[in-house]
Amino acid sequence: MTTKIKLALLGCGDVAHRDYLPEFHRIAETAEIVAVCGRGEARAKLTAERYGIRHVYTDYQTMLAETEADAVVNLTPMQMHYETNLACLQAGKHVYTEKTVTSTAQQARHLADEAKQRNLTLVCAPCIMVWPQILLAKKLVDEGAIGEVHSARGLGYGGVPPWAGFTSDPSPFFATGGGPQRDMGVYPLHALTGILGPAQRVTAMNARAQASFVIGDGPFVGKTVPLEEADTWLMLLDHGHGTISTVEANNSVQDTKAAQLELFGLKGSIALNLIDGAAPIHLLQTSPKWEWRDIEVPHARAGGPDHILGVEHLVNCLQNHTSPVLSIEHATHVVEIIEMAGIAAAQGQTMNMNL
Amino acid sequence: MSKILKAGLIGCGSVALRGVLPHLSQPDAQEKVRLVAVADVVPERAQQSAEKFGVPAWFNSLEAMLAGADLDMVLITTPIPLHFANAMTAIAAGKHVYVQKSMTVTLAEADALLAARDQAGIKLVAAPGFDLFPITLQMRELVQSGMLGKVAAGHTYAIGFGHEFEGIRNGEGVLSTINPMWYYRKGAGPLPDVTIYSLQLATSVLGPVRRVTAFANKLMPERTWRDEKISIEVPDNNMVLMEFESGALVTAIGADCSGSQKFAWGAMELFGTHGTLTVTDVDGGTGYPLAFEVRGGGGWGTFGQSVGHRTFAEPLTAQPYLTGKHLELEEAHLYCDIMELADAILEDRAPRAGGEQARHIVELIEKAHLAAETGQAQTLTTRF
Repeated sequence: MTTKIKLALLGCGDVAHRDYLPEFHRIAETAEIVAVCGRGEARAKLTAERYGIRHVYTDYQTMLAETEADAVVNLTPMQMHYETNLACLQAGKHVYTEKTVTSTAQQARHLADEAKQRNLTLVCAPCIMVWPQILLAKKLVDEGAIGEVHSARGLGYGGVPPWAGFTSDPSPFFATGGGPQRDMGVYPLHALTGILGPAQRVTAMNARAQASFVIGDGPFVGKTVPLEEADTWLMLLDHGHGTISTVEANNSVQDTKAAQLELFGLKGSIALNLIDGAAPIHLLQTSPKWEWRDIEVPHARAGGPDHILGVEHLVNCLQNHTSPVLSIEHATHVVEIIEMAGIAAAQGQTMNMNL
Repeated sequence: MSKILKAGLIGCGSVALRGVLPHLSQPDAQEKVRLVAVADVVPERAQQSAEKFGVPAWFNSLEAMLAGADLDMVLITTPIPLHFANAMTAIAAGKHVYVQKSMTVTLAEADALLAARDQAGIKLVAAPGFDLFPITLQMRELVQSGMLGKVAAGHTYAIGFGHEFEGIRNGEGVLSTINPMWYYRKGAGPLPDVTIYSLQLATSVLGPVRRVTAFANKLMPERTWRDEKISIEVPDNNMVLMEFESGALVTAIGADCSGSQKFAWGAMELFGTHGTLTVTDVDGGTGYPLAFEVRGGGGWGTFGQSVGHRTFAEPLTAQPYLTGKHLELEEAHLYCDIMELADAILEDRAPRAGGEQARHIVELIEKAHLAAETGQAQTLTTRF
């Protein structure tokens, strides 16, 4: 019997409690959470009690020094990712990190070096490239179901103020180092570069629709949250080999009827929902006749983004000694796209990517 | 008793044969506009078009038609790269002008055309006239009312077929073998041909654009029509980013290729700080937006749900000229454009769908091409 991979959970905010912990039972045969660390002691203890986690910490340095965990699941606020991921690697731990892995490409490359030097596995969210709807879309494209694909679009949106349903302070999502690109844009950026190949050139426009918003309910109701990053982004990617795509990322979309990802082929299209794994894929084929149909996607989570698959991916890589698909290289590329988009928007100039 | 205006048409191609000529043949149209002459550089095409639709005279060129027929207005339905020259010739002869989209290829041409218009004192209508359909005006009013809050972003798509697959190009005889290859040569491509509908709708609702950048590529570089093969001279897929004067950022995608979007063709969504506007139904024949909905318009509930929901819809008959047989004929929006020109002439007023917005779109398209070629965002100088 294979030994379970021991995991330390770093961060027990809304993301941990909404997307990871309730789904953890699905990988409980191959992994166990042996420690949890949260800034607030009460919340950390509550998390430990609810999920049967043995060791509780409020300081991550202490946890890293003491824990027997093989790997850390890093669900801290985005602005803390570089510092905490680095500390985890330097403590000899494998890492699963939420997105974005770091704020800058330079930081991401540093983490890649650290992981490589220490022979550690670093798995980076978003884990979209292991999500069933993306795998199915990719399979359809590879089978020629829609012909050659040289045009695509994606949309990442959400987290729209005023905030509702959250129990933690949402400010980090809108503070410097956060913003809609890093929070939601990463989904279409990872999907498009994963399916069509890396971006070689990027251009963008950005704008600020709001300077701040007031939290609508929850424990932080009434708090004014400044939008320190531009809240509206449009991007264009050139993937080379005659392929281009467009990505929208913003905090401005309350709802949309457009698909979040569309692949336009010469013989049809695929349209799908990036975030909700329970939603069917829409397939258009133009011959023998013009016809749209829905294809159900087998999914394990009842609805929403199936993030636990990213942790499962880390566990599988560790047990099978394989390199991750959800790699630091892919994540670094997307972080760099976001950086380059910022420069392109400021200068009105298409930027070449360093590849 | 109202005067009946005499029209001459140059360019007996697809939109003329499927649209303008059938519409103007109807009795109700002829109470206001009588098509007295057609012209085409292919003599057999001009002759057979005239015979088929009961037009009394046909000519081999615009110049011959202007010399040989007594006209109040000229209807220009030639390939896009010819629009400017045709319009200038018509204006020089003192005629009112209807010009199909896009009005010209370059901004310099558009400036010259509008100057000639003003100098001659004639009236000009440039397609596509979205302002002639009430839903467009309702959307504009709603945006201006602030119901959506500040419009932060939007997107609009017009991804469709290549023209070489159309029925009118693949039949027998000179009226059914209209050559589509000019769509793939310089001065054409999807931007002034199909994306223009999206650009026109977006600017009609949001106002002028301040800056544009774009990428473009060739999805089907080789095109075949009957025996003719062509390597396309211009991209057949354009992705355009626009920064509006209002601050809104809007993406437009236009392609002359199959593999369409899930969204209605030519539809648009606008994302405001307080709500989303989605065009949910677009009439396939005219491109007129028939219905839209607003969701939000207030606070925001749980993630993924909206508060408040309103729908707006109008049938095609909300356009006063779209009655009876006109509802069954193709390219009905051209008929509405032409009737607007007729009314403007008879009432001696400025026409809606006049040249200023068309010129702005010409500049937008020209600069989108330039941005794609140079990698530099371009600033627009025109407004409307």
